[in-house]
Amino acid sequence: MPEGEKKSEEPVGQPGCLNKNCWLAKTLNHSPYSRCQYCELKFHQCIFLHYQIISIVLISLFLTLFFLIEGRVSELVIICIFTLVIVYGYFLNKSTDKIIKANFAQREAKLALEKLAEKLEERVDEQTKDIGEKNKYLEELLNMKTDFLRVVNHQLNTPLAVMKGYFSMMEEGSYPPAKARPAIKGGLERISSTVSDFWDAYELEGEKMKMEPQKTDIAQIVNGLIPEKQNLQLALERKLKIEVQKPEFSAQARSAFGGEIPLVWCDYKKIAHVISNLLDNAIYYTRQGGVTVFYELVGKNYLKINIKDTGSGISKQDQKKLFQKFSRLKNATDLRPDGSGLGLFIAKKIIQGNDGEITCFSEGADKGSTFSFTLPIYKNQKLTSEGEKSPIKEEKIVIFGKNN
Amino acid sequence: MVTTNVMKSKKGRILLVEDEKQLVDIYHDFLEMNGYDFLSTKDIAEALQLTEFEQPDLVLLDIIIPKPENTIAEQGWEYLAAVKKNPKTKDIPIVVFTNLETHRDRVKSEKMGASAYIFKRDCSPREVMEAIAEIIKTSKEKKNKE
Amino acid sequence: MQQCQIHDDSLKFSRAFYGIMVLVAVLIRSEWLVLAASILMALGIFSLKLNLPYQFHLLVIKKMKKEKSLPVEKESAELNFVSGMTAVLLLIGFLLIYFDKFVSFAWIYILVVDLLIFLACFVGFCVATLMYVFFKKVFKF
Repeated sequence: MPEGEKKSEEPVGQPGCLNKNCWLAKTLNHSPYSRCQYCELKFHQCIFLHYQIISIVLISLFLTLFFLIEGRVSELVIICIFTLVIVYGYFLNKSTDKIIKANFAQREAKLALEKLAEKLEERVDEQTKDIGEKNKYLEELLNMKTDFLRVVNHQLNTPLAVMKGYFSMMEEGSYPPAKARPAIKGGLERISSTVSDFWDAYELEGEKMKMEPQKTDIAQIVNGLIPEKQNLQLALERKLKIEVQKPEFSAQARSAFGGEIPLVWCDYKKIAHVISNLLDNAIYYTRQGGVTVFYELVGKNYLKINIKDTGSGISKQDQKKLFQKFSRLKNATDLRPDGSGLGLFIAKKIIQGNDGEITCFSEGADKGSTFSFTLPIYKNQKLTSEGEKSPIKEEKIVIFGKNN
Repeated sequence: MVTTNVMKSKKGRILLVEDEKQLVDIYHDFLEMNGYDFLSTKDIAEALQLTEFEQPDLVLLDIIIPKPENTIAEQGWEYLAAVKKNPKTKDIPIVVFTNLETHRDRVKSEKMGASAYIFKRDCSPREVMEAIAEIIKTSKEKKNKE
Repeated sequence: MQQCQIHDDSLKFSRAFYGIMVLVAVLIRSEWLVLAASILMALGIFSLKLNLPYQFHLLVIKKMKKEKSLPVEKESAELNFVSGMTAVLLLIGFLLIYFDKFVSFAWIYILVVDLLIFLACFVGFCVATLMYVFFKKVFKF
């Protein structure tokens, strides 16, 4: 980097630039030579100055010497010396021009290169960051894919294995078709619901599930499910008690919603699915004791349904991960070997789509857990007009235009 | 491709656009057993021709019909659009008969002019036939009104 | 400090002109030619406009050649000083010859001054300019 600053009006290299480092240029207030605009050296470094001093010295020296030796000064000698000085000076002038300009060009190139390198570094840093982020995203996707494949494999192969087993026994003739048929049918149903579950879980990534809300009697759903769950093989084996607790709401509240338990505004089928799922979970993860369903009111607008079990409980850390895809607790495989890990994730989507919240409470391992979710109480809500003119049901056969 | 006699059966003529041979066989047997004429093809161009010239009473349309370069190509939508555009075929009831099970697919079927949506996997041939009968009946009534 | 725009090649021309003029004077030993040169130069003390060869080159020859060249900024004081200095030196030479003192030395002296003019013209090395700078520093203006 050159010492000192250039003329404030012009940068180096531009005509009119004054070399502030050069004493001569500063005093004269202009550049003595055209090359001086490219020069940033101090005056005592100036090549030309050296030439000038030397030539003056030499000329004086030779003239004096000549005079002393010869006793006179010949005109011819003077002309010769001066001619030499002039001629060499002329060429020196030209080459100094070239040198200074070349130096300048070199300095410029160096600066440009440095700037370029800086810029490149910046760009590279940016790109690296970008790549790092993309990498992270891809890793996540890869993990998701791996999870997915593993679960798909497992969830589909398991019922297939069962079905194949029964089927081959039937073929051999060692198993009555009448008994094999329902088992195979069950396997088919399991595979179907797994495929549907995957669609639900992945297709609705980030979206709210579409609901068809209606006036729903939760108590009816629950009461209908209780005997069915009570008769599950696992419940009978473990002698679990599945029951519903009668709520004790104030008389005022009861008169407001005209019954023991208020009606809610939600998608009947899907909520029934969630309750069934939660009850199943409770049963699976409870070795002894029982499952209790009880109700609470949250403010004036929400009904809270709680499903409490005396089962293996959930630690504080695990509670955070519960509603994520594929999350399963460490001991879950012992209790429910064929869980897909999607049940709670889908349940959360459904509850959120119905304007509710789902939570879990547990005091810790082996201390039981309570799963709760809220739903809005029915207060004469109507379906909004957007897109609900002729709602397309989620049935397996839908004939369009039937309501026209 | 399975063709039929020249005389149209009383119950109706069904065209099935489907590439899965085993499924075609099931429905061929079942529907013919129940008195329907049955046509089928797995090629979209041929399907369009058949629709125009044989004038079936109903078309069962599979959506996912693979192309050599794309095994999950949804060519069925193209067929549906073409049929509804052609004045000679736009009144033929088309039933989307597919394994695509999302709400979006149902909405798309209705939007593109299909008469119904049937989720292939979970419906038995009998259920499908009942739906077919109902749709043909409704469409015939509509035609008579005009 | 007053700045003015001068054309470098015109300046070179005027210096060459004076140089040749004085060289001829030395060769033919004509002190009157020397005086003439001195007087011409003296005109340039006051303003560049009076520097006849310069103006001649600028207006006439330039037009004939139809070339454009860029003017350079210089301090007018410097040019005036240079003109004046050279004029004075030549005048001294003339006077020496005129009054017949150290005549041969005088001619040598005039020759040297002449060659310095050529030096300034071709090499851009003007001793008078250095003297000007020196005086400027000394008198600090």
